[in-house]
Amino acid sequence: MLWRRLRQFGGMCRRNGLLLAAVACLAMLYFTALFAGFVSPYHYDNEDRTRSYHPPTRIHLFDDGRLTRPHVREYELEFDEDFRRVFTPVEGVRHDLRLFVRGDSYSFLGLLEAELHLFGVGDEGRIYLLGADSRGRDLFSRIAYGAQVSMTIGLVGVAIALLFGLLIGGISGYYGGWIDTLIQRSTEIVMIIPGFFLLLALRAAFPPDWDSIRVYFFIIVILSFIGWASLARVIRGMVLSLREKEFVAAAKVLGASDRFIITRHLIPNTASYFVVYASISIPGYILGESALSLLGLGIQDPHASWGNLLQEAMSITQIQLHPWILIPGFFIFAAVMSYNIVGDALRDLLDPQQEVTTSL
Amino acid sequence: MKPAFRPNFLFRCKFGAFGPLAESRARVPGDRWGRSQPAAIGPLLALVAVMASGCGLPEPSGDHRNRLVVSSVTPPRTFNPVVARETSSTAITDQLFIGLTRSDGVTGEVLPHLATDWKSLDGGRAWEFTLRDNLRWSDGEPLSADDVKFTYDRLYLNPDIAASGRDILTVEGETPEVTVLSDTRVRFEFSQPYAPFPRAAALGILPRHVLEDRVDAGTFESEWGVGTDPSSIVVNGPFTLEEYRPGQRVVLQRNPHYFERDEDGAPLPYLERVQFEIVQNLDVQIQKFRLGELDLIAVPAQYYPLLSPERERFDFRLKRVGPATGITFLALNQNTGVNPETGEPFLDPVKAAWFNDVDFRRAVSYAIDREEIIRIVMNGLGIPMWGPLSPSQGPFHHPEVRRYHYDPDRAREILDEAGYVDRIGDGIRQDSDGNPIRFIIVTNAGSDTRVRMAQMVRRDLSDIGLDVGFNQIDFNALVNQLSFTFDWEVVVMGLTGGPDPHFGSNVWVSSGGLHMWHPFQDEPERPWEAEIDQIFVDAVREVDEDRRRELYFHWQELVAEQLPLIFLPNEEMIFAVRNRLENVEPAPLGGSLHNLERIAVRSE
Repeated sequence: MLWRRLRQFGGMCRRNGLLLAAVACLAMLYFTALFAGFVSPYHYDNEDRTRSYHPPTRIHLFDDGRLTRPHVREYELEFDEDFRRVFTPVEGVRHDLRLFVRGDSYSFLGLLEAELHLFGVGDEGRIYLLGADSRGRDLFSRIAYGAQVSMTIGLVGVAIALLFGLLIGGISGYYGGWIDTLIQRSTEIVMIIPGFFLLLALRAAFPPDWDSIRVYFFIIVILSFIGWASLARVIRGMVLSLREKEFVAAAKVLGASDRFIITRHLIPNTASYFVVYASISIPGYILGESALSLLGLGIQDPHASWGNLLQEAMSITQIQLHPWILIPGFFIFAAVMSYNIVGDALRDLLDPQQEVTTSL
Repeated sequence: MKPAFRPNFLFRCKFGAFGPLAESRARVPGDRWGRSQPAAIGPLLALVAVMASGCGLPEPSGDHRNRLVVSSVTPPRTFNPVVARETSSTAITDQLFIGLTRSDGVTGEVLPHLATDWKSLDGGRAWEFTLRDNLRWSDGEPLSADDVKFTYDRLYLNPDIAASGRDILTVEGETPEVTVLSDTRVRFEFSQPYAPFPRAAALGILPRHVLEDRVDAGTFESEWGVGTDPSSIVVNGPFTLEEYRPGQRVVLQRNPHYFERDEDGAPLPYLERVQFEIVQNLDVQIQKFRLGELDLIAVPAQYYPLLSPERERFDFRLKRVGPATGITFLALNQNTGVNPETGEPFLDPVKAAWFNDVDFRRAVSYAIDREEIIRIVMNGLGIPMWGPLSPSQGPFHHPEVRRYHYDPDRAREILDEAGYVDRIGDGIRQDSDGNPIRFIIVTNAGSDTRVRMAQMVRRDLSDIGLDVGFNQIDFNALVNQLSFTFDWEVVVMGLTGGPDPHFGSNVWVSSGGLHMWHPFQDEPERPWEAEIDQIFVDAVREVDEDRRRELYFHWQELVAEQLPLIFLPNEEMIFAVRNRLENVEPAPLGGSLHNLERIAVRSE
């Protein structure tokens, strides 16, 4: 069954170039997140304050008109008379771009310490593929590390929301009566509150001295706390109609327990809905985390997330003088678009009649 | 932000949500600390505001040539100077109501205003002021010493009125007795000497003939709110209130009865109208200035490179007027107190012990790279601060206190000698009991400058082997921690400041509520705190300016030695001024409107 669906999906990808691009984009982003330490030339907190707002480094292939190894030039920071940052090239200094170099140590997949990086220019120079932030930290490296937060927060968050949504919706729909009323009124209370304000209020409730890992998990919990309610309602409606079906009656007659019926018969039959729901609501989690971090209330420096990277881009000076610090925004855009495209395709594939909405 | 500076140095120190430079942006109704604007939603607001201005809101009619347009971040909350607390209101009431004296906006010196001169009697216990002749209110009625007595006795010192100026008229719990000697002479008597009183006498005087029955009726506090008919507000300042459109703009008109004349005998003010546009977002303010909708704005250092190349194109000049007043600092909680309700210490005693160790604080100070903070956060436009007064704060600033130039090796040495050594080789130092040195720096979300400074300090401190985290929380939550729960560890905060240190005593005296590293002490716990307490008691009684300065110099030396607060750099203050404006002399102390009555618009 799963195999057949996957092959159908593969077929859709071949016919639909946009979908293929979206899947490829997601694959690349997750690859980057998984191997962030390896892909990025520097550690996320490796700073060089003398290269504050270094523009993206150009990679040169020619030196004195002759083809050479790819290399970068050295630049020196000065303030001009308008106090703008000006980087002037230092004559005669070049740093060769090399593959598989040793650099900052990082933990590879959380298992072992490693120092190998995909590319780099050695300790003397600096390479900034996408420019540097105010303290001369490599934006490319920080985006790669930020992907670990931003790309996983949706997956974990949706998983938690699904768990609660399915369970609560399933129980509510199956038993009906006062249990149903009680659960439905509770979900309505959660849904009444505007999501973003609930997010801010919950964030204010936890102590400031938490480290980033705990903050990360807490943000996931907050986001899924907002997300489960709408799912629970739809699941409840589906279960309500499913429980009248003959196969459920048959299971009951055969003496199956409620738990067995809910988990083996009812919930699997809502799968087509919740798979689509999951892929379409992931962007909400990505945006939720970004918004919180953008406001300074999410993942904290020195750790990176796409949202807190954008915190630097919040004034016209920065956007006008150092436009590259907006780049994390394009990553958010790419991730959200890709998930939406994939979600649409999944809906066409699994459940063409369903209208899926999310509360985030 | 341009208006607003005058009251700051009169009243006691306050926390600023954004830092000294941006102080006036920080005041929001209902909150005496000045609540933070959620700058983060700025881009959204910016978009809305730009769209609104693009649609062309109707401009008020009238002569545009003799009009100055400035901006205010928050709308005024009241036009009543006695109850006004936040700078958005006082920026306007300062132009409407003037006092016996005023502070020079550039030097901080106390100058005559309604009073022509004054003298101290009885070693500073009594002060006698002589008023100008023929002073008039804007409705033509004469202004006399009776109005002065009414204003002080019945308004500022009236216990039934929540007057924001009462605490600066109070010395050790005693308030002055006011006596009218003649139509133009009035005397203030204190039970003990109060040397800086002439500065406090800058509080605005109000008309007795309009307000006396309202005080009798007990309705004074709600008088002259923002809903009042502007023409019913009777003033003595250079301008009268002409119009207030809620949330949009305040328009002031020149007061024909104002007494001051220029050197050629022409009546002041020169301007016919002054318009305060309410622009909530800094980016929008800058854009409106570029579009010519504003004539005069304060420019945060990070915007300097944006505006500087456009000076010719948009016909304005940028004035760099020196370091901002006030302080931004890193505070380490030294509170050894115990919460009376739970019996628990406010702060983990292990951490309190580190923070109480002056060597620890000195090491922290040596580890902070202030030059890089200035280059990165302030775009090169800032100065390092070593003491509690900025060089812009007038004659009491001590230029030669102990300095802690960036020296991480020295910092490591001090920590090693004081017994904070990494004994287990994990890269983090432990104290002599083996507790790893681990704490968190907190600042308020929404203040870009402070957030970035705190992030850099965090990094600097990790480099000397301390395990330091960083977090931002809501401004009110942070003020709550500093003022009530005392359970913070290390914060980056800011305070406003003025030329006379006496008005900052609630920060420096150990019983003060803003003595945040250990507030509300019954008896000073540290010897240097006792010494500072004594200095503040002595200085308020000292009428001789030189001896007062010596006392306050000693205070600044003590603070720099003991480092209860570790000072971070101050931004330079920069103002963008349209070229057709004349006599604009912005200064860190007075802001850009301290001489508003002399500002003129050159006709083209």
